Amino acid sequence: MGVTVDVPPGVLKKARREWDEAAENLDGQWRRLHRVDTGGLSSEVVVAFERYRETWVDELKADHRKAVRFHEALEGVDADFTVTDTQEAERLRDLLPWRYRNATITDSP
Amino acid sequence: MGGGLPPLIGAIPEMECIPAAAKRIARRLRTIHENVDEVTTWADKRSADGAGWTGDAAEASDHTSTRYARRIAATGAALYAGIEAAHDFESDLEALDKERTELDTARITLNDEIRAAAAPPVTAPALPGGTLSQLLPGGASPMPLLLDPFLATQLTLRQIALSSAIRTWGENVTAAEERFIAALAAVDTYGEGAAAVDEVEYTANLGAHVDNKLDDLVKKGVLPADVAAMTPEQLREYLIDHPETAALLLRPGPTANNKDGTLDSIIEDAKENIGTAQDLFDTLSPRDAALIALLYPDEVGNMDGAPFPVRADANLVGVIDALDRTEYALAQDPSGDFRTELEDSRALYQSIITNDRQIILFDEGHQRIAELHGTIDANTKNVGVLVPGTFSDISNFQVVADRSQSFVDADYSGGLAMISWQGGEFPPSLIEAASKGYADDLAPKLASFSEVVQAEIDHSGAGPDTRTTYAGHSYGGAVVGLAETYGLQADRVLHIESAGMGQHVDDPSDLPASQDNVDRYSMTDEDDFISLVQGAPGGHGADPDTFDGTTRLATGLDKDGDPIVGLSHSHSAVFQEGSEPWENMFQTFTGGTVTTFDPSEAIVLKGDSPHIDEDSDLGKQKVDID
Repeated sequence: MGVTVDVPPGVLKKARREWDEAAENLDGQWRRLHRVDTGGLSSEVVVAFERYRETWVDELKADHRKAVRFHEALEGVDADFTVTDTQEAERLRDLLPWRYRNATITDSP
Repeated sequence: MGGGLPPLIGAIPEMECIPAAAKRIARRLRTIHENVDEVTTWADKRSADGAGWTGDAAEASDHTSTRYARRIAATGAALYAGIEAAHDFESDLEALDKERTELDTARITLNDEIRAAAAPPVTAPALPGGTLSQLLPGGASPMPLLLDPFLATQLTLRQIALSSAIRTWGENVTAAEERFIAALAAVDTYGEGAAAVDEVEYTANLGAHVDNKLDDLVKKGVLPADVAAMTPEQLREYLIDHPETAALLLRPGPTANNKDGTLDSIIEDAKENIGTAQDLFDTLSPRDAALIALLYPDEVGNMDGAPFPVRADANLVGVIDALDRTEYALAQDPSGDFRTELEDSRALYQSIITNDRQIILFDEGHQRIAELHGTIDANTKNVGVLVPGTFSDISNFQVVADRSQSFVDADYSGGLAMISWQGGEFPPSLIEAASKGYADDLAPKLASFSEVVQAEIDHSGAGPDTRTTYAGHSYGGAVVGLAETYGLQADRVLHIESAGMGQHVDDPSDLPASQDNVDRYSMTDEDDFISLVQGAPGGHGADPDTFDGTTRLATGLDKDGDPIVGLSHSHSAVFQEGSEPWENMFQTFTGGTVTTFDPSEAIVLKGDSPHIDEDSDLGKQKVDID
């Protein structure tokens, strides 16, 4: 069964950038949550807050890691597409007349 | 209290948790929540618009974004719950901190007074071998040679009260901490965060459904295009100026009858029971609650469990419509009693609209109306419900409303709220007043309404010590009495010139166990013709004045101290403000001190022939109501 992958290069790049931004944002948030000062609270309240904080720091870290993985996966796909396109373009250039032998192959926007 | 001085009160401990710490946590969590929410919104949008992907890749991208958005929404919901909990904690701590300062000031003052009372009244001459303190065992403070026992008792009582207040304060500090801990513990696992998402989404969706409903009514031309920008107050004003729109909202015909399906079913569900309605309105923002009241007036106006102010908003729409129809009827130039009734109704409706009166029950067709006088909130100590008698209908509702209002106006503490209740049709003539049919219809409705009143009290923040009094005048007395057989939720019952204890209520054993702790009071003026029918065979049950366990109250004097006389006059003259019976009603409603009936002044109309009961020598007594 075939799978159709129809992604304009611009869309792929945009998605890659957005997942990267999401990852960066979440990285900042788990660190921020981790640093919340518990001074001025009783020991019982601090224990409860730390339990709460630990859960959601871990969750934000996991969400951050996921966003990083999606970003990296898209980056890989984008790179593969670029390599494939470049190889195809080189093959096409080889079929062209001699005067095009040094034509530049560029990535699409 | 043996006459000695009380010990000094030690220092009040500092609070371990300070308001600034809770505030700081709330602020930090809010910042984090805003950032996380941005990511959730972005992921949601990706899955909604496809982000430019097509084919199988689009499906994969959509799936990834949706799952990611849902996953991270749990974190957002947990953070939001943390913000709310920290805010509540901060408010609690601020109030407790303020209370601590007040208690500490009181403690220092009291300790100074105790020390002053303990100090010798005159400077003692120098003793050989040192001061008095040095000579006493352990260096204890000297006791005064002459101690005022009254002062000592007073200081001891104050010391006990203040120590108790400090203990309660300490318990409240612990309770505030425990609430915060519990709120955090409620969302300290991923599963709990995910569950909280549904709650947050439900709340957000309700607001969206209200907006959808508004949009729909604008599209259909029922409401003006600028309604979306209106506040509920502005929409209220618009409806007052446009009664034809109020009519459409009350009776949506084919034009307007396209309600938001989800909101429609949510409101239908809320009508099922008090708890569901309370949950709904707890969830809604004040704006959405007020808008739902105005857009669904027929459903919300008499919805048990909807907060009374919301019911009043909804019933305003009904009153606007009723005024419009009354004016139309008057324009047809009717005559006689019908015209008078219409004019009285018009005056009532105009007064309700102009004075923003709180009508918490309204059904013009069935002559049902009830008004809240004052407010039921955290300061409420007593709620009284006054039920009128024969001849009552909407056109003369102002009579019972004025009577109820007089009690609220007289209570300078603001702790009394009154409700005038006409929850159905009353006998329109004295002949029909002999019928039990009206009471049969009204009594279960009043008992059911008492459940709603109690729910409103419990939900309003009023303390558990808030007391309810149900008072019935004339035929209304028989209604209140019969309502007791349906489990009327009352702390006190007051029969005023009452027709009787209710059909088949001949002694306390005829009442259900739920009424065992009800305190009953009754008053009947000696001249009132109704005493001829009280307790009569085949009438409205036992005579309230002699019903076992009932305290009979004095009625004899008007506001000038003159006897209230006249067979018919005395029946309603008991409501004259400042008169002895009015004062007794007021004291019953507010849990004060009542004056009992003096049997030696009784002209006994019952029995063989009218006579003065000269055998009695009890005299009037003052009785404190708990």
